[in-house]
Amino acid sequence: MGQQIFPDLQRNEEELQRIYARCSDIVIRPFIIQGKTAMLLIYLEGLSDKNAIERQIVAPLMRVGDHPILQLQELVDRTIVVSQVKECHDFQQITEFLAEGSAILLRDSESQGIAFGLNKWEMRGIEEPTAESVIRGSREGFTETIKINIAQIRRILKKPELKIEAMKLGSVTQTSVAVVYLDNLADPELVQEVKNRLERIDIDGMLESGYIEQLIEDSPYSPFPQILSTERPDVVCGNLLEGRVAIIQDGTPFVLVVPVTFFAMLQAAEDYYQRFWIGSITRLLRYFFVLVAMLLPSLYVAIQTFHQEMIPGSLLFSMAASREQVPFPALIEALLMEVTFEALREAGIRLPKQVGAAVSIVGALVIGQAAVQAGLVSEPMVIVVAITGISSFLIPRYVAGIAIRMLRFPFIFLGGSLGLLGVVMGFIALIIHMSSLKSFGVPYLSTFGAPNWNGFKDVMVRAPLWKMDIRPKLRGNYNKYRQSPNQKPGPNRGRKT
Amino acid sequence: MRRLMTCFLGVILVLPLGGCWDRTELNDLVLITAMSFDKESDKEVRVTVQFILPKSMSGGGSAGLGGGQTGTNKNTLTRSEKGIDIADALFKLQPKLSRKQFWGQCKVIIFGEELARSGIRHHFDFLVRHPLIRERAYIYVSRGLGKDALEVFPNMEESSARVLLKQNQYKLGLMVTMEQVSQELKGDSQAFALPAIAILPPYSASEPLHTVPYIQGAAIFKNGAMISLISDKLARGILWINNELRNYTETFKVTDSGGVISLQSISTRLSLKPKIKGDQWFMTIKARSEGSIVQDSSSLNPLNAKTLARMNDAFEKSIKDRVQLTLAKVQHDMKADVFQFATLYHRKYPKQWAQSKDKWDEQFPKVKVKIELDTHILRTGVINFPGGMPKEETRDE
Repeated sequence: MGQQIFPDLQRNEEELQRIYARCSDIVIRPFIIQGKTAMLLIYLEGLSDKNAIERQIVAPLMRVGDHPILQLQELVDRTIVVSQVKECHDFQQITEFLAEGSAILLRDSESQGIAFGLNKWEMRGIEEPTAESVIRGSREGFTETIKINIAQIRRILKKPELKIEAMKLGSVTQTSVAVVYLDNLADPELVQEVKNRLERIDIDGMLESGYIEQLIEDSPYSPFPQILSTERPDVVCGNLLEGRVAIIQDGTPFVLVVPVTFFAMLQAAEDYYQRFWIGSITRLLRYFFVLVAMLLPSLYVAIQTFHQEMIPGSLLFSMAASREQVPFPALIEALLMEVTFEALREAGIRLPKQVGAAVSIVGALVIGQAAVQAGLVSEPMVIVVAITGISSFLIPRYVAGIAIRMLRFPFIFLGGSLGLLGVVMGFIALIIHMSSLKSFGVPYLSTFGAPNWNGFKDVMVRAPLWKMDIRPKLRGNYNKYRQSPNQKPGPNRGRKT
Repeated sequence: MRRLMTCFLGVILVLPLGGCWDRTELNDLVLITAMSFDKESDKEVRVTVQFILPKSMSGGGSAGLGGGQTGTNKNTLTRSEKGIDIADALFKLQPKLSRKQFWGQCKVIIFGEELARSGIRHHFDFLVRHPLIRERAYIYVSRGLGKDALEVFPNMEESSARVLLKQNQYKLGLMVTMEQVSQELKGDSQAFALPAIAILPPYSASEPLHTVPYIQGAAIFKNGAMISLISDKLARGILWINNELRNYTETFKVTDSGGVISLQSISTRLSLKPKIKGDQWFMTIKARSEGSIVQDSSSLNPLNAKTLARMNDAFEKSIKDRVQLTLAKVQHDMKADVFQFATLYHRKYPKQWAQSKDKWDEQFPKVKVKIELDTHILRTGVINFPGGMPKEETRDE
């Protein structure tokens, strides 16, 4: 396919017909201009803007006078009303340009063609991101078209320091991928590392940014995601401003951000838009409930099975009373309920919206209540499962939520077999694993694991905006200050004397 | 990598084995809330355990069974068995129970009166030796049989053990944990006091066993055996010296002729200072007590500064009187150092203590106790003049 374009238009046409045989969406249109010059127009229907092609390419060409005879380049320079113009020399390039939606123009006796960027296709409009909605903040999310996503980022970060490096991945899909970063803030080694890893990818199809994520991450076997994926432009830009690198892929609204720490998974964009009290309290709530989501069922099972002396008297007697009717040991009960809950949750995702909500609520409550009445599970267990379920909803990033929900089960086994000792051992093992994780060179538990005193302003609580004047240190040299001092607001602060 | 995976797999497969096989589910345990030991005969001890019946506790109900009747329900049950020692008795008791004995919730341990008199040292060994008995359980002595306190069914709480435990919160009676007793049994003074419990006579309207045990007075132990039961008043004297008495109401006469005043203590700060001068051993009790008047049935007007001063003096005298009474009985009569003066001397005067150690029985009554008491009446409640009479009839004398 690296075949050069022939000077003979007829041969070119035959070659194109051969390449695109049995492709019903290709349009190959020969026409004559200036009396006798043969031209060939090729585009893929559905990808190109047919009206624009006819109006801006074909029409002006058809109206050019018979004299003087112009070469292709002159025609393009003087008569064609299109701004994005590229040259192509071989059929490989022609197929690539056509796939982008460009229209190709070939002229007789010239072995070079011109590609015009007039793509237009049906796409989803800009909507609120489904998985990351906020009460306060922009409601625009990324879409499936990379150009629009890039535009959304550019609208927020307007300086030319925002670099966008494009490449194509996937041997069959030829998906456009862009690496985005702020030149003065991102560590050049980081950018290079990202590009290296991307260029290493050699598979046939890149259907979603998840493919990229799974092929470039540091520890693929870990349950924890080491790359952030988000649908929100403001999240991406916030991270870019801290020196991180974003990877956008055509065909998906989910943009990747690297490097990322565990605590970034537990942060929501909204924490920053609200005042610091709400931001801090919500965060603390979230951290507490993350632990609850992971450990509550296992703690319940462990204490009830092995450490009954820890439970205060009256509570223990009520629990004993409710366990009287239940045939299963606590471990089995817990697993049963948790698995059922997860199943209901998954089912709720697949169902159409209206039915889904009803099934989740009805399923959980009614099935839980019915199970208790039938004597299959005890009431405290239903409560534990309900609290755990709700806690896992508090985790802002869906992927981190899955990781934590998944980890619940080994902990339940450990709690039921080795008691609190097992839970603690499991927890230590988990922390050891998380401490050894790195995301593009940045330790996963940064701020706690690799203490960074400034970072504390943004982890457990959210310090007031005017106190967060130092960027988080990722790696390498970095631009430290992002605000000038004295940003604290107050009356008479803005007055110029 | 291969080896790592094999090791990992090996560990994973072994893990569920440990712990699972000797796991006891909650409803295979008998939740013992209280234990009592009584003397069965010269060579035998009778152990009674009180435990909760979970079925009757499900008020709030799964499936609406039971309908939540608290109060008139009998939530606990007792079982009893005799044996050569406690461990033997418990072992003989186990086959009579359908579930495994569980001590984790047992916070009340009662020694019957007779058993206490014959000495608790050997029985106490079981309590500290057994790995699962709570060290912070409270020890009591019962007037009469210990099992009587376990076989009553309170109307408000779920078990009679819970009633006893909740009575601790007033700090009006002694509150002694097992670890304290174990220290005192080994301690310098070889004497200690335990709270004594009696059963409240049931009201005529209620069923015969629907009543509660309550703390009444104390039991004085010397050398591991009970020598005497003392009254509430003297027990409070002991508590006062040990600085454990809180929230008590002191009622005393101000003048010989007039009525009484009741004073509620607000705070007491107390310190004990041992001193040896030559051959004489002293113990100074330095205390500061504050109180507020709760009832003035003496027609005296507390606003008058002189009257208030007299009330204050009467307050001081009443405390001193009580303490002297306690000391007379406990120090001179029984010669039992329940206040742990011995430890104080041991710490401060180790050499002299070493010499007197074996003669503490004689030395202790010779200790001169000086009470330096500083009392204040802080408040007169929400009114000042006596509230039940017209102002003219109040007196200043």
